[in-house]
Amino acid sequence: MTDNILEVQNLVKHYPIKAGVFQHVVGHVRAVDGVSFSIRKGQTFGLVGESGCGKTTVGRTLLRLTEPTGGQAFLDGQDIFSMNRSQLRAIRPKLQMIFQDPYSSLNPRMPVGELIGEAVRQHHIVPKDQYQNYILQIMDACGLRRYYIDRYPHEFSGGQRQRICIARALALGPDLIIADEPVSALDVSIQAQIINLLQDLQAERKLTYLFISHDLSVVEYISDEVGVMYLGSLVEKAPTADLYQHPMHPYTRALLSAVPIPDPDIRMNRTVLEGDLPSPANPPKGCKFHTRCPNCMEICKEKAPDFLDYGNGHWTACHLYSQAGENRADTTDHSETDDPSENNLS
Amino acid sequence: MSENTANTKNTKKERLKQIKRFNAKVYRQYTKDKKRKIPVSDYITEMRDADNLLEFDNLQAYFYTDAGTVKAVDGVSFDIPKGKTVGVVGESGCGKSVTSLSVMRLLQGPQGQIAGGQIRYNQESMQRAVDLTKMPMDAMQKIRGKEIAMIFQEPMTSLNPVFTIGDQLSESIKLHFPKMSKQEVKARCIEMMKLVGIARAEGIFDNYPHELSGGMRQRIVIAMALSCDPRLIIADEPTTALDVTIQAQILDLLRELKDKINASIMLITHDLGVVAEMADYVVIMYAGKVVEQGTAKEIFHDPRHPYTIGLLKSRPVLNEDVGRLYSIPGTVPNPIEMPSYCYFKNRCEKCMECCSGEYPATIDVTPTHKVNCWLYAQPSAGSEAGR
Repeated sequence: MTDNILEVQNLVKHYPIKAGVFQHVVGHVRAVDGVSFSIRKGQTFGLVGESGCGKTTVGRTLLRLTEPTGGQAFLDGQDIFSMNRSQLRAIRPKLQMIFQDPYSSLNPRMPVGELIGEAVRQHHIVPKDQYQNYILQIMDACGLRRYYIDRYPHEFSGGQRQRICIARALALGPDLIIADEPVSALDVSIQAQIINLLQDLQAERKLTYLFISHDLSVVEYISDEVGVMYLGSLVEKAPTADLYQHPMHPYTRALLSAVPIPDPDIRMNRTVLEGDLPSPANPPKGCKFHTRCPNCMEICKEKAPDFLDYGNGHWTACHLYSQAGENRADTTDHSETDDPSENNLS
Repeated sequence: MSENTANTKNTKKERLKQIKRFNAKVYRQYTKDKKRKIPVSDYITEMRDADNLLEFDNLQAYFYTDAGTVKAVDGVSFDIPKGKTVGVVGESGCGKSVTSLSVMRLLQGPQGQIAGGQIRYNQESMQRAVDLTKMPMDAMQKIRGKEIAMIFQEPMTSLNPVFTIGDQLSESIKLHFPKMSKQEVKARCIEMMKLVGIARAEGIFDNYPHELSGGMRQRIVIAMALSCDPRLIIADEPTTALDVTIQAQILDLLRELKDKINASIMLITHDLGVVAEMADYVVIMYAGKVVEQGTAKEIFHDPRHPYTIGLLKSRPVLNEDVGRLYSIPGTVPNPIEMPSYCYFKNRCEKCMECCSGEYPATIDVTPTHKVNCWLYAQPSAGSEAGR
């Protein structure tokens, strides 16, 4: 277990809903509701889900940008959630974030050198006399020209800005980078450049990524292990190849079949999910997915399934598998589509 | 040194003055044209092919800004056949949205103007073909929203937050069918909402947009577009702001509806997956020009232009093991000072000597497949370099 750089146990984040003149709490938005996972050193963990499923909140609470409601997270064995300000400050260089929108996450009044260098100076990463040189090295590594150092963010395109954001995170020599939708605001041809850059840097510097995205094909490409979130909980977690080839949870299957394939000959017969995401303030009873699930059974409406390991590190939370024996006949009835994951049962 | 900088400052000022003077002239002409009464004979034309619903012929849409003239769309030609879906693909800033706004004549004037070319529309209701670029505004009003309807990109911002869904849905029906009674209009709205798969249509009729989710709002926007039985639906990134599961629902819906009311769709998107699923014909745009067009099969199985090939290769595909992702180097050129040679030259892997010459002409690979690239200009040299 020592090779896990990050371990998250039962992470919970509830936002209170306030109402009335006195702003009393009338309920909670369960943004993240008991998420556990761990990331091995040098690997990439992908977190996917629809908007509003809590994947960004997971990233932000790990950095303590929003305070968690409960749970524990260990970075190299140190509990992040119990640290005080000065301890947190000491650990911040190891844990960096790349934000979603490169257009709003750079201060327009700072030149590039300052944007990248501010935290380097604050954390005394390098001695003063090497500072300038260090910034230039980081810029080189991220594919930024050296003369950009005095320019301002508005002079750059989206792809270049994202490179600046990456350089800023990289300058502190982090072990773990939380990348929150780093490519979704970019054009297709620029996306490929940034993904390649992230992978090169990972190989060079032994970085670990927590890669948060809603784009399943990008996540498949970059991740070693993937977690699928739905309404604040993980519904499935497995090594990438396993998850994409043998998805177990009906939600994962629906997500995968919804991705359009760039080939006009494949007009697939997909499982289209009915309806919208339920409100996280008032999640459905039992399994949270049962309102949209094509394989819904009686038990799903009553009892929430446990998140269990079904071999080879393939975890899922679904009643279809937990009582494989008795409900076997039932499940095959519901899923007419040919389903590779059924093989896992026998 | 100081003299030098002063000099460059002066020339800069001079240039700015020149641009402003030129723009003022263009704006004056624009307002004059707007007031002019245009006789019907001015905008009646002939379709090149009677099976086409819409023909773009060398369309040019320019923006006259203080920094210079931006040729957002510069000589775009393609056809939209009746009952087919045409996908227009390109990265942001390539002019795909401006092309669609030109059809609707919704370019923001006086900066944005159609500078040349024709958009021929086969107006079957009046048994004639018209040139939309020259039409007067009052005639355009009768087409816009009724015969050509548009689905805008962001369902969050394209609905007015202070009017109810019912108000906004019935607006275009009231405008185009003034003889309908109130009850009929409401019945029509509810029928449209049911058509796009909204279960509780009566209840939602009196709701405000903020009470609906993103997918529902996009359905309302689609219902608005369909409410007058349009011949052509322009869908400008209809699913970009939505999640994949909702995207799948909306795409299925669009495909079904197209067959139901037998309309054509012009689908604008940057997502090649969406295009492959929806489109019969594909048009690839780059920096204001069409670089390649053909049927969906031709574009996806036999792409010719290096830009198209790069685009297809730079996306990771589900369940397909690729090594390193291909990335097109560099970025899109500055739209104000476009070079005279091929715009893609500086990013192209297969760049040859003749690429520095003039802009490549359109070359027919097959009768439907056209490409603008020097690689295919001479059959002998092309086949060698094309490998």
